[in-house]
Amino acid sequence: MSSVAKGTRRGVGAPNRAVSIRIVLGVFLIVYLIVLPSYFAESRYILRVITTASVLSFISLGVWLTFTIGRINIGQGAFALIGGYATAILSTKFGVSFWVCLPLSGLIAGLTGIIFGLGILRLKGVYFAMITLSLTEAVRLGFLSGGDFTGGAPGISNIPLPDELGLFGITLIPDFGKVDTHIAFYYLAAVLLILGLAVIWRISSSRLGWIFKSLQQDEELSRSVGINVARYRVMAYAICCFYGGIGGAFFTVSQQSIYPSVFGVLDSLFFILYCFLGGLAFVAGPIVGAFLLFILFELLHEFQQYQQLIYSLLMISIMLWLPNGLLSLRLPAAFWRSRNIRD
Amino acid sequence: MALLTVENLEKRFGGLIAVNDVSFEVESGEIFTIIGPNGAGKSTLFKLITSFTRPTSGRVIFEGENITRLPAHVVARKGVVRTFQETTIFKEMTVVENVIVAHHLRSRASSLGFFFNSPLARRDEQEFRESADSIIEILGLETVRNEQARNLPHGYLRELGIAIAMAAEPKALLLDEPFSGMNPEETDRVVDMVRGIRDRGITILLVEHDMRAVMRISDRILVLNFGSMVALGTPSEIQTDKAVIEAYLGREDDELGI
Amino acid sequence: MEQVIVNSLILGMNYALIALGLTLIFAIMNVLNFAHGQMYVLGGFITYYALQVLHLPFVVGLVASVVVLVLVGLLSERLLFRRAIRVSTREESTMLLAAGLALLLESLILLFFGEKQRGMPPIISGVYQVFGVYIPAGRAFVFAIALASLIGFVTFMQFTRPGRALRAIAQDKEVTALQGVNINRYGALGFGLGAGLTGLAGSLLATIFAVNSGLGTAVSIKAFIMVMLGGAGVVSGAIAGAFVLGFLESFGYAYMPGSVTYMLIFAGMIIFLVFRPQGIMGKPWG
Repeated sequence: MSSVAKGTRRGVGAPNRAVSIRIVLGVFLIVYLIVLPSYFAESRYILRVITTASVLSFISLGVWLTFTIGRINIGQGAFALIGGYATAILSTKFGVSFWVCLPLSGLIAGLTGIIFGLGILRLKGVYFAMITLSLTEAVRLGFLSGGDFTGGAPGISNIPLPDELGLFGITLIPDFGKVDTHIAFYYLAAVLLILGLAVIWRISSSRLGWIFKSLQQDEELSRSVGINVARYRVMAYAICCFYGGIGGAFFTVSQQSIYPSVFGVLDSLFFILYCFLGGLAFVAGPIVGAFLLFILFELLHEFQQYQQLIYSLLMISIMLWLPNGLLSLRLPAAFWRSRNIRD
Repeated sequence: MALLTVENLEKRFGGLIAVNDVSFEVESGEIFTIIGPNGAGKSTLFKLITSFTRPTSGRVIFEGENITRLPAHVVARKGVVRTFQETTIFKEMTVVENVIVAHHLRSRASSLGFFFNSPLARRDEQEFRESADSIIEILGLETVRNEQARNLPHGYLRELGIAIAMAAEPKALLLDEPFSGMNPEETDRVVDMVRGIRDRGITILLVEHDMRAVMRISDRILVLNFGSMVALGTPSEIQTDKAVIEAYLGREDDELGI
Repeated sequence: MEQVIVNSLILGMNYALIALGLTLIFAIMNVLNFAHGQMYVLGGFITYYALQVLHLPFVVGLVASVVVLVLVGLLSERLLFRRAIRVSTREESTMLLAAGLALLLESLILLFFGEKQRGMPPIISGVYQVFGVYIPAGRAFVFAIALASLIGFVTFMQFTRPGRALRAIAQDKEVTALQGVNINRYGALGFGLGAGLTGLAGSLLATIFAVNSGLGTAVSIKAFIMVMLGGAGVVSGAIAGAFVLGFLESFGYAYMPGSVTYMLIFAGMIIFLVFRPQGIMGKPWG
């Protein structure tokens, strides 16, 4: 079966497939970047839903990467918080521009990830899951008891909107306060997601992805052929945390506030759920999962008190009947597939 | 000078001595076998040499360099590569993918280079593919080249394990029970394969149970019992060694192949 | 000081009940039961309902909590986990399934019992004074029942046939199956027993601490801490972890704000596990 897949990949069918992939990708981009925002320009609510789903997808992409090294990471909420607070503190207390805060938040989260990762990545399986879950709580409590610096339970508010970003007097990005804020955030989220997906896709289809995959399957064996296991798993984890930090910074600025319970254990679990729903074998899995579940969640808003009930039943059904995710159903599989995954 | 020198190696787990004051030298180009009953400390000794476990005391010297406390992946980089007892392979990859990924030590491009698909990275990948194909050919795995590793017939698993290790360009290859569970024909094939690897200039260390194969293939044999050295010598010396026969081999003579 | 020590002993005993259920399910099924806290909350609410709404005696409430939770455990094993374990070998799936179950139970609890914090008067009122240490009678009572249940549980595991079978499964599932033990049946037993213990804990502790529908996650996290500290899947470890947490929490709360206490507990635990991943009582693993 796999030899057939191999044949089509490198064989005669390849150019055709490449073309059709480009067409599908192009259509997606046009819909995402032009059709949706212009069609829903008046409907702020829908724009906001898509924006949020985009950034949730972005954050989940990081979690997906930790799955590729064989770790269940329930700690992404912690890094979204770290990124969020980094932006909040830098912008309100030090007056740093958002355009500096954003990458810096990612870096701070990534560095924190390296420090934690060096220790906790020695654990595997359920143990790693439990310890990252504890990390989510520990970081939340840390910000809760951070005194004036973090603003305690109410957190930090009045965070300024992104200001103008210019170069030599030319405006590259306008001041978010002076344009339609919803559209501006929509595009910021869209650009982040597209870049984020491109990077993760590139990682997973390059040799790096193969190394990560080898760690997932057998760390001892990887070590025996000279792979510096500790280095690569920390690398994957740091990239994941970077994504969390950037996502957290985004939400902080778009909400203009942050408090310790914005990202908790449940959010960390949801990131995993998005990956699962989409399918762990697919780079686009977390995006499909996040959009579907988040939009569904919003639709269920009508049912108020039954919302969580329906959500939980769905979650259980997915785990029981779709353990390999939605994308494992018939879709142009070769398109989604990170080229090296089974069956 | 010997390629690999083991000096007074000792490993304790709590009160238990798994490896007790073991010393020997392995010459370049040799096939050197470690035998002993279950629990004699053979596998622990292997782990100590390849730094998968740290010794309580003693030294391992490879090409004149002390490699005792280096991390396992650095020891592999020096040229000391092991295979595993179990069917340890990358199960969710095809055979050729298994071998390609194991070429890690030969990559010259950096992680960023691979990310951006730099010319150097492309050249690396090209080389890995070619080298993987030649290893697969040497070990006779062409027919299953594109099979998922987890679907491989049992007989091929050990070859794949060796192929993975070969990709790391070992100077000394440590094979952990390469003949266990094999019928005579399969054993013959692997014996030939191991000889073939040695003829390519790779020194071989074996841990093995199958006496018949060991007696045929080894240049020298080290016998361990309860973690201690019982004897060290050529197959014919070992076969007639009193201490060995008493400690280990005496019970079932035909197991020895005498 | 003596007061804090006594408090931590009482707390540790209560926590032991919570940790045991989790570690049992983990040991038998290799499932990290995220719904553990919600099961605890359900146990608490059932007792509350029996006592405060139906005005039944405490014994009835206690038994009702245990029985309902045993049923919940048996049903989830039969309907959910058995299938999930069969269709997927990844431990993530059962973990997420348990998380889904947690959400389900939480929303059901919310629907049936509302979102109000519910407390009840202690079962026995009054305060004992022993060597200058005050022990409220209600807490002493809970301590006694918890201790009795703990002894009962350990006795069951050590000296009865099913208990020994459960321990054998926890040691090595395959080998035990080869010896002709019906793994499915014991999986159900382990799950039912684990859930029942949790219900018992919820029922008892509801008489001391109030319960509310959102408490579940916090309880689960505490249970995870205990199990990790002690060593996952080891009964003695769960008990050890529970008392360690009881002490840390009581001493922390006596001298620091609660959030700082728990932050330090988390930080300490993470550092501890980096150096001793198998916990206090667990066996080393690869």
